[in-house]
Amino acid sequence: MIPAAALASLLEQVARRIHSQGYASDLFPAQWAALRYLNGAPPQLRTAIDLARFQGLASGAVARTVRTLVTKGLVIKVGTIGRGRAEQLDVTDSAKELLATDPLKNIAEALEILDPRDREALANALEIAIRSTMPGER
Amino acid sequence: MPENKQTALVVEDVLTVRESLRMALEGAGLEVSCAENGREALEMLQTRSFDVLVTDMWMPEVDGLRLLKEIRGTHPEMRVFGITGGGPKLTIEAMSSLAQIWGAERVFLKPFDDDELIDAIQAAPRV
Repeated sequence: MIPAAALASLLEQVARRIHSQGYASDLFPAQWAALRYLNGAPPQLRTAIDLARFQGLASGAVARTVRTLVTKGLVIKVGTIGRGRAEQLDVTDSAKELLATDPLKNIAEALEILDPRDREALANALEIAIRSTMPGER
Repeated sequence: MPENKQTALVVEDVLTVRESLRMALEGAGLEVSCAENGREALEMLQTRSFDVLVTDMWMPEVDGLRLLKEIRGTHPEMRVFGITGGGPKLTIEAMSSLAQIWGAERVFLKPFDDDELIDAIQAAPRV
């Protein structure tokens, strides 16, 4: 039987390698995650508060991430939205260029070779892994 | 000649959201049935199929993820759309990813515009 500890270690190494490749673009993992969200979310949900809700994070930390991305010229404020007048955000062309080199794409391409059975096994394993990281699951 | 309407099953535990979705989809020309949770949906799916399934992800008894896993083998032709506004034990981000892994063509984050959902249903399925 394959040792679960070795699998966990490998999973951590994959995550660390992805993060390491992301640092090459001078972006922290949280900043990459914010860019991915803001690039794909519907316009009415492109706010810092919706990003925080999506990721299950404190709004203060997410607001700092967004401020940094604005400073880097990767995110712009395009107006306000809703009754709370939250700032509506969008990614810039520079961010779109960066997202075209997203390290996650390499992983997705590599996983294309998996047949349906292996994909299902990996999906089950990753679901167990992500659930184990959530509060109240242990 | 009878009109051949697209059929949809809406699975949502919150009555107001369920009825709002029913009205929106019926307004778009679909024939809509509703279930209050995944268990009720599974019972309905034992006797008939639908062209489209629109399901909330967080529900009591049988949640959306379990529903998706149960129907993958039995209703592979049915197009599935998830809707979610958050819940316990998983982030919306994780729930959205898992929903797509287990068969949802797209996951809509509440609050969403009904027209977006209708556009997605009326668009060609993603391959």
